[in-house]
Amino acid sequence: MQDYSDIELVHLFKSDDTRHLAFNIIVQRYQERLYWHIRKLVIVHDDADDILQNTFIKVWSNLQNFRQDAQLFTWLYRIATNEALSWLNQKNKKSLFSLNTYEKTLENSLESDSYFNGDELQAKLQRAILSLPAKQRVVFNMKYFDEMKYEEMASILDTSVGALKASYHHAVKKIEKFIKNN
Amino acid sequence: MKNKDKIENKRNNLPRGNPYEVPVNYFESFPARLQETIKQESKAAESGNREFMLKLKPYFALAAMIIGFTIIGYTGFRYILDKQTMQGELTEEEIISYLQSNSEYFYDDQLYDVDLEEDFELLEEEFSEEIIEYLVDDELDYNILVNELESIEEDLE
Repeated sequence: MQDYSDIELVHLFKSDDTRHLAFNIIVQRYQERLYWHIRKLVIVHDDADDILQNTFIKVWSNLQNFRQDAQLFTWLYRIATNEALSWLNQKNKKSLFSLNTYEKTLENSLESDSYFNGDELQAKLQRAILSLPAKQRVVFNMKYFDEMKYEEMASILDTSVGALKASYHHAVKKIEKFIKNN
Repeated sequence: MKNKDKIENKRNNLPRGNPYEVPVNYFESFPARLQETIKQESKAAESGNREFMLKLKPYFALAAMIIGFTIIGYTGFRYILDKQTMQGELTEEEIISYLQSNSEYFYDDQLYDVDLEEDFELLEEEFSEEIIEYLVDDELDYNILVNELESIEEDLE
């Protein structure tokens, strides 16, 4: 049952009889990868959980119209990234009149999070990543933690390979500087 | 290449493990929770639609009432207006009977006279001033003109 290819799953989803089965397999196949992608952007588990649910609800509503000009995984990743980025935007809009940005608040509360078990260096790295702009954070996480190819990242983020390379290079420099200074 | 190596070196000095955790059985229970959420969302959407329609019901009724009154008012207004117009107009039969009953007051001579008078008035307006000016300016003798006319008539005969 789990051996269906992504293309087969999309076909199964489009049939009323097998929609739930196909969707369940898609969720089981991709939930972890998408969760960690989201979690590294929004840090807090409960927020990542909400965003992951929203991502799959969007998949449930729109997979019927999915044209297979992109890979299913690329499409899922794109939805998850957009959901996480718009969620961060909303948080930052809400904290417009506070002294700190939302990311700064996360930086300060990182080590007190019950679902964070990293050492001091890992906490420092996470704080350094949080000091990056949200989109640059996405690029860094995808390349550094998920070890994605630039071409794959380009199709997910709908941008050029050159722009991604430059963004990643700047991100590494900023992180290095942050770690040296803190 | 140098840049690439530099980045690689920097990467190697940084920790790469995942410092985050999830609650126990999170991924095992997620699909079931998601299905439940989707079910609830669909129910909420359905009931939301129903509630939305129920909220709109009085507005639909009001709109229908306004449209109904407008149609009735317009039809009534047109009916009254048509009736008044009908009253103001004369039928063909009425006109014929009127002409027949009053035709004895019209005579052919009267009609001709009216025509001639109208023509003369037109001529007088258009040419009288020009003719008078011509005669005065050229100091023409009326007798000469008469004689000339008579000689032309003779020639023609």
